[in-house]
Amino acid sequence: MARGRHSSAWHLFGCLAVVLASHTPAASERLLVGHGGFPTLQAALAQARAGDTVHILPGVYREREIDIWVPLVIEASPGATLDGEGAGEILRVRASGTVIRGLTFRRSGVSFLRENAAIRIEGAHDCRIERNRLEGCFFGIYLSKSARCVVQYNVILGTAEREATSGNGIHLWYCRDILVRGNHVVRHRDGIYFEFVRHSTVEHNVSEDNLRYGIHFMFSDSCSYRFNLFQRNSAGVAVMYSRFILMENNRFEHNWGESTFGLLLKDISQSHVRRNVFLSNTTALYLEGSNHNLVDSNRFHANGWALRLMASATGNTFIANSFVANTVDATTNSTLSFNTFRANYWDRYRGYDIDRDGYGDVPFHPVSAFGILTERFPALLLFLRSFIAELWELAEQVFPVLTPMAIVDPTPLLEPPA
Amino acid sequence: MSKQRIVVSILAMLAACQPRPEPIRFGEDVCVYCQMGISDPRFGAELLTQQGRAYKFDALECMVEFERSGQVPTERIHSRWVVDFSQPGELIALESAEFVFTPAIHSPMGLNVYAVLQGRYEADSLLPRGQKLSWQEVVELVQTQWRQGPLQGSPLQ
Repeated sequence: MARGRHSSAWHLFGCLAVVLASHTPAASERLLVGHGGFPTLQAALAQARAGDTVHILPGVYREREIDIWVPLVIEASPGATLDGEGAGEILRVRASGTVIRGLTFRRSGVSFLRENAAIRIEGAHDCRIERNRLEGCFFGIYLSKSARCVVQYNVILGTAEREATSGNGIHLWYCRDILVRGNHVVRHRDGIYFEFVRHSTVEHNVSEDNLRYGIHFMFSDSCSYRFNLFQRNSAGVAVMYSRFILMENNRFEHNWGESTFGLLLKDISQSHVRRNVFLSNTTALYLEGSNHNLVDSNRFHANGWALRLMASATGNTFIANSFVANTVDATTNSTLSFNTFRANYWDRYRGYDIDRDGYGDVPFHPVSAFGILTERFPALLLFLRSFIAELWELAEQVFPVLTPMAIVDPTPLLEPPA
Repeated sequence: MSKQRIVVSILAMLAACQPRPEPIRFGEDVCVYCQMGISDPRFGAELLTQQGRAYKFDALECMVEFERSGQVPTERIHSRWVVDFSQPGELIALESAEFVFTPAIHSPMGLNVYAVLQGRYEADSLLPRGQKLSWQEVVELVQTQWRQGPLQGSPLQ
């Protein structure tokens, strides 16, 4: 009995081997472009069959609107460049399972009507876009209606000086199960842009000096971004109209400007912001229309405002965060607030801990009366460190009128959390 | 003669008092409704109050929702302006615009409707083709489809 099963398994294996062998010759073709091979990538693609590898030798190839209709591996020697010459799109992948590796792309065209990308994945799944270099492109890598793709270790350098003539570095529209890892995006409109994306992960990327946001989520539920660095983006980072987002271990640094936010949460719910570092931003974390989020174990250091909590943000919990050397720890535009603060470290806290349990024995009110006033009349910031403002604070401590009693940390930490 | 002059100068002064739309500074202005930086010059809108204050938006959706929020009472609204898709960055009066819903473009807030000067859609075949809408229909689309989540009917979800 056992022997019979064994032999039928072998039989099956044999059949598979025959099937695989019969396919092998067609699947292993390697086509060369340049240096005596095909003169252009398009010429090679015309001959390529599914599963072939197209290898591009060093040189500048002035080609654009290149379509890939069958699954291929496109790879290149260092110095192989596809130049779109500032008009139209460069490479469009329409076949699932395609790999684009090690190419340099230059100058996809600026257009008001079309979002021209260097590499577009259009309705194709299981693709890999890795170790490419993009220079001066309108949009960089653009995925549309695609699933299970990996975009990793690409360097994407925009040249944009104005937002209008600059597209996004990595742009995802209606995608799911995408991994965006280890990319470096500089000087685009938004470094990384997600719209209608599900179950996707953005990790270990650097997104800096972009004209608008380092990363921008719109209508994208159940995604996470971790271990990224977002710095010097002119509007910071915005996560909007989404649920179930995990944001952890990121760094938001040096985002300065009148309407610039380390992290802007607009209409975000049931999400988790943890173990991030907010260093030196005009506003580190801004919440509007955002409910039932957990914000824990973050470090807010040397920001203008560490936390701005709008009246429309309720049911959020702030635990074990540390607030150090910020100009203003927290403000809100309302005297009512339905958010919970517990066991945070505030360097402004002047309480004591007689029972030595590590928590201060008197509660801390992180929102000052003056903070409330500046939220209503920003021009008052001029008087931030003035005698009048300090007098006001003192009076408020005795007879609180404006101080929102609801924003209170009943158990402030005496030492910053490890 | 002098009476005429007075009338003319009064008229001129009245004209000068009319609130004028402020150009949107793309890349600098921020949408007052969604807080997003306004960056795509093919889209955008502006609401002017009787006092001449301009509220700027990155997309039509945001202007509709802002009005609904009641932050500016309807009787204090002087006029509404929208960006003409065919002339990026140019504001035209809402009354002189028509609207096109098309899957061929991606608007900043996901509704995929653009505004264009009346008559131009027929005249210019390069403009993305779609379904023509009145302003009332745009408002209804925002309040039904967009608010309930633009994800419905998506190809992958």
